[in-house]
Amino acid sequence: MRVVRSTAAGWAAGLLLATPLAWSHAHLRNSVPAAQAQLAAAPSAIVLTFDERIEPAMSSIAIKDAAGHDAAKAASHADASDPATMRLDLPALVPGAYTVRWVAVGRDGHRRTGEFTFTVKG
Amino acid sequence: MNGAAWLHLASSVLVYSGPSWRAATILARRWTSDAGAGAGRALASPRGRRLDVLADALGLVGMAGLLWAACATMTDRPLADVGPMMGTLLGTTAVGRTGLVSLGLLASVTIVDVGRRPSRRREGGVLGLLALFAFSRACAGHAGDSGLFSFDVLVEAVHLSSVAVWFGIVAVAAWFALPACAARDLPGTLRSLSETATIALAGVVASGLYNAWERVGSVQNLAGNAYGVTLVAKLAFVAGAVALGAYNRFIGFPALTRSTAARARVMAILRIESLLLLAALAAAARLVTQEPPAARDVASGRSACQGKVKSCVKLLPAVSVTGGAVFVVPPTDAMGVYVAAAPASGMKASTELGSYAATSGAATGRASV
Repeated sequence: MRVVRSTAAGWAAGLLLATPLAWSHAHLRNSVPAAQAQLAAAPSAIVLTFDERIEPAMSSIAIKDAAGHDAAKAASHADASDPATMRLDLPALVPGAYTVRWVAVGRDGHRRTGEFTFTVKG
Repeated sequence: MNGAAWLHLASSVLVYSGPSWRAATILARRWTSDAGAGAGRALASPRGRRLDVLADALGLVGMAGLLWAACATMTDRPLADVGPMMGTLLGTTAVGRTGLVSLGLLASVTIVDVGRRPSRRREGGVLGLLALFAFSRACAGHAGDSGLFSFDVLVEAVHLSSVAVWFGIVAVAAWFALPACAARDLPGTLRSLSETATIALAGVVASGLYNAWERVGSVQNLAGNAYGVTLVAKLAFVAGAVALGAYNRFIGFPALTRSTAARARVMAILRIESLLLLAALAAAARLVTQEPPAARDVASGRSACQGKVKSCVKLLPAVSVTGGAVFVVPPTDAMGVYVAAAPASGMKASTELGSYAATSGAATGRASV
């Protein structure tokens, strides 16, 4: 009985060693505009939705034009209503090809990056 | 592995092994109160208490190292440059906040242990603090999203804690308690050790099988990815420890009192077993930073349906065949995760999706047939 009690106590203490396993890193689930989209009108924002909550302070969206220059000066921010969504407000984009690069850090601290392109038609 | 990954690995081992030692010495005192008086005196001696505090300190250092490594990983900066970002980490992220709580709890354990004689009441307090520490660690990462008391988190907690208790009692016994144990008390002490290790092993096996099914999905997934390789290495370490433990239980312990050579052999085997379990803990720490193949499959659309066809069918709203390729068309304009789940025209049930691309605002999954 003493051993059983001791073992139970040990298991309880051993719980301190529990670190939940990370099931996955944050994956991009949806983007507006979509990858490789050909848009007749310039979008007002880039909106990215991931499959898990992200850390806004560690995550970001950047957009480059065809020459590699930053096309937006503002910083991206998390969506107030959806912690899995990140948004970058855009100025009026001129026609051309754009590359969106994103960094998403999940709540578990895992970092994932990606990029896609879209085109604003003239 | 970069510097942050190495720091994470080393820190994780400290976070596991330090408090594991502390919990094990509490257990060992329970055993030695009715067996192995020499070991009991050693555990309660100033040296034993210093080792307890050292274990607490190692846990603290490990926890701080984990946070530093996490900051480097999350910001993609070199370890030397993350100092200015630590405030942001600790103040605004789940990893930082839960890490601060964990640090505080370990510091509390250290304060309780420093300069005080062990007593049942004090050890009960330490166990309570350690349990709170466990809760704080469980809140970090995905556990917070899936619910504080979700079944998967519980299973993972049982798995890691079983390995940790196993490691702790073997390490404490092999390196500290048993060498101080009188020969006549050895059988009783070893019986207690063996019974506890067996219970811990049962927890390791049961929870490990569940985790393997959930996270790996199939035996094939063990090959060709870092998670599978690390898991196989961990299993090898555990299997080695099981084999040594079984040898000691059925051959080594019964022969223990016959000669000093037999006792030395048992001690040596216990020490090797503790090192194998430490390696298993390191592998477990490494697994935390790697993406399980089952999760990656779901996200990339590769063979996620093995054994789970029914759940995947819901993700497949339409299938059309164009030329030699199968396109999986999602219901909304989106890029991302779609899996082939059911046999369709020209498509095998086990079809694996390859790359997927987005066209005209709608993502399509391409599968070879």
